[in-house]
Amino acid sequence: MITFSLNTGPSAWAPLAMAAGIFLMLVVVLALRFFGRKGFRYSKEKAMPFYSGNTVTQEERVRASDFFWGFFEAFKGYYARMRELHSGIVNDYVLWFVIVASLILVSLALGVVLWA
Amino acid sequence: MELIPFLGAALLFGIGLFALVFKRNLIKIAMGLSIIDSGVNLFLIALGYRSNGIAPIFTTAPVSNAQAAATMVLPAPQALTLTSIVIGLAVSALMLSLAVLLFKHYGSADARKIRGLRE
Amino acid sequence: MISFILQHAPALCLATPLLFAFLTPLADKAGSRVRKAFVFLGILLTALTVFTLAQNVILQGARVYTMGASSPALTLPSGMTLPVRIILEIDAFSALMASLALLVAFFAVVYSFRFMKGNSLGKFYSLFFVMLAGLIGLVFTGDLFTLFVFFEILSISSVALVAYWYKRKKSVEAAFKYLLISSVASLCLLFSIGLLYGEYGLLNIAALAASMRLSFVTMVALGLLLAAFSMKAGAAPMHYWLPDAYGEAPTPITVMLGIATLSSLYALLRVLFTLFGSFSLLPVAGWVLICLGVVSMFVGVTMALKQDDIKRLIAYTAVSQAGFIFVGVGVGLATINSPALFSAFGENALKGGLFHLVNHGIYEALLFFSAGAVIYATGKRRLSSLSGLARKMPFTTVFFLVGAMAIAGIPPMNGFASKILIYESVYRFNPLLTVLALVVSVLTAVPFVKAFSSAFLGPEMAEFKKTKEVPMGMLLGMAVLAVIAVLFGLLPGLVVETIIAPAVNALASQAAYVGVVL
Repeated sequence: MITFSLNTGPSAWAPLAMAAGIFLMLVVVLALRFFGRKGFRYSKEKAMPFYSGNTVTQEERVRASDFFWGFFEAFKGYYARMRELHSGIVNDYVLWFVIVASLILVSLALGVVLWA
Repeated sequence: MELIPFLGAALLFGIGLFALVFKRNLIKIAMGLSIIDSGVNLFLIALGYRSNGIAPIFTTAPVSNAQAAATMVLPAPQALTLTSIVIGLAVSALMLSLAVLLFKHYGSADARKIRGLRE
Repeated sequence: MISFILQHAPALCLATPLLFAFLTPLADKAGSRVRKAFVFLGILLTALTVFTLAQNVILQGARVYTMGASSPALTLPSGMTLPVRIILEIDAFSALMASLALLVAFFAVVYSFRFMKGNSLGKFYSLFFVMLAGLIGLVFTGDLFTLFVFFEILSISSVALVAYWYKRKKSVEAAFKYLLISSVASLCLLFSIGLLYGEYGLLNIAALAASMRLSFVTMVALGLLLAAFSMKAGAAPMHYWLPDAYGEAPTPITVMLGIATLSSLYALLRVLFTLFGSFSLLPVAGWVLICLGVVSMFVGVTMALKQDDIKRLIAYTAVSQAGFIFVGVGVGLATINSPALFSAFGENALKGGLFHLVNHGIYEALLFFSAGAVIYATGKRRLSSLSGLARKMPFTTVFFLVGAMAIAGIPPMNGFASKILIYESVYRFNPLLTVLALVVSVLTAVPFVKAFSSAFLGPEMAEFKKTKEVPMGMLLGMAVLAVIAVLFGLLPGLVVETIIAPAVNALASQAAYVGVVL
């Protein structure tokens, strides 16, 4: 039987219904816009963006490396530790593999001892 | 007595892994990988051995065909080992040529200095 | 003709890419147009063969193909009780992986016609076809040693492709690290194959599965296989090679590396579910996968936030999404021995994991294609030096947005459909896991907000005045993948029933796999 909704065990997700709802909302939004004032002429000065009163130019834009400054300040310790771990030295890559493989083997051995 | 090849394979594996984890020179890392390869190949060959066995070739067997199957060493691990040796050759060739290129680019063969890609 | 192709399709799927791999340098001598036509013909033929076989297998059940026998279905030659020939066994999960791989590979080849510049691209396409042959062989094989051989073929050719631009020092460095990691993983794989052969005397997966019993040697082999395949699938804390290799490879190769990572995940699942299917230690292995998955989710997404290079950012989110797949599959594995729990939520978790695997392949390819389009058009990789590209490259912007919404799990894209399956089923197993998965899912949207706003939105930059939209060949792949992403999101029930549920049934029932061969 072909169903169009996803049964996730305790619930079902019907995306087509949601898409129809979004489409309906878009129709309502367009209808409201239709009843608005006509006669807006686009000009560059009226539609320019501002950041806190300053115009946004190529030199004064927010660069990607400055995004989420607050988050990185709050987690400075964590990121310092991560930066040390991601050292780029290939021997450390193999060392991590050895560590994880031994942990897996130890946990399997514990599983045998405790449950079999 | 029969455990000696297995102990040798484990020793080679250990030496190679030590070289991979603790040696900084790229050529030594390539050598370590090659040693691990030899260790695993030795392990595979040692799996198929039967004491006082003969080579698994029916036409030149010194005993009759009926007894031969019981005294021959197993041929399947030998096929696996040959394949593995060839693969190890390809990997060593590629790794050494990459090491030579890295020396040309970075001017050093030290893994600690070749860290252009980090964090 | 059609029945001949259908009967021998498994061997043809392997033979076609190898044939084209070895003939491409000859076609290259005749000029770049002949080479492009030849390569296009090759990938088209391979894709058609694989899709035909996949449709046949998903509709009619698993198939077996014995190499070198008088008829392809003759797995036990006269009088023998154990399968001794090389046997390819294709069930619904292999067919799904192979179709996904060929879909992405086809568009990667079309993309590379415009993206890769240079005169001697014969070697590039030759290596590409060898890598494709290794990948198809990996997912079709029914034999552990053939798995090792194809795994090595895939790894070595993809290392050579990562280092293709050998004049860049970072590409060579990434290739060296990737080669070392691949070789360590394959040597551990060979070691555990040796252990299993020494214990049981068999190499065929189905025959081994039928005679598996608990012993120390088997346990060591399971542990080593788990570690080696998880490392190649990008599980933290062994994921360090992934951003390096993905970031420095040419973009069509990055996309194929993503598919190679998913094939390592396929190999992991094949070994865990089919080979060790009746092992009583499977719940421990399931918990190991869950722990690896949780660590990968967090490490991947937090490191992705900090990246400035656009491809490394997407690569770290790939680590995080691999963690999602590990969690879903781990829950399925942990409950597989108890039928009540499995039918209650374990099967849904496994469906979610596999659906997420397919969706991951699709939207990672879409994201890397659009990132590659930005790099092709502007020549810059760092997000700090990009701004306002939406004015010049509207199509790439839309496709990147679709990919970012898909990976963040925003409805109605496909990412949401698979994630909700994972959330709901994993909740019944352990609510804490769902909480962690939700937190990571919210955090996954953040690096893409950063990438999208800084690269595409924002003020115009003077140096990008002459930037144009990328050529049609590159847009075609992105368009098709975006349409598939939206369609899979709008019709998830249909997708899960027709292609994911057969794969889950094939994976979860070891008896079906063994029954086809023995």
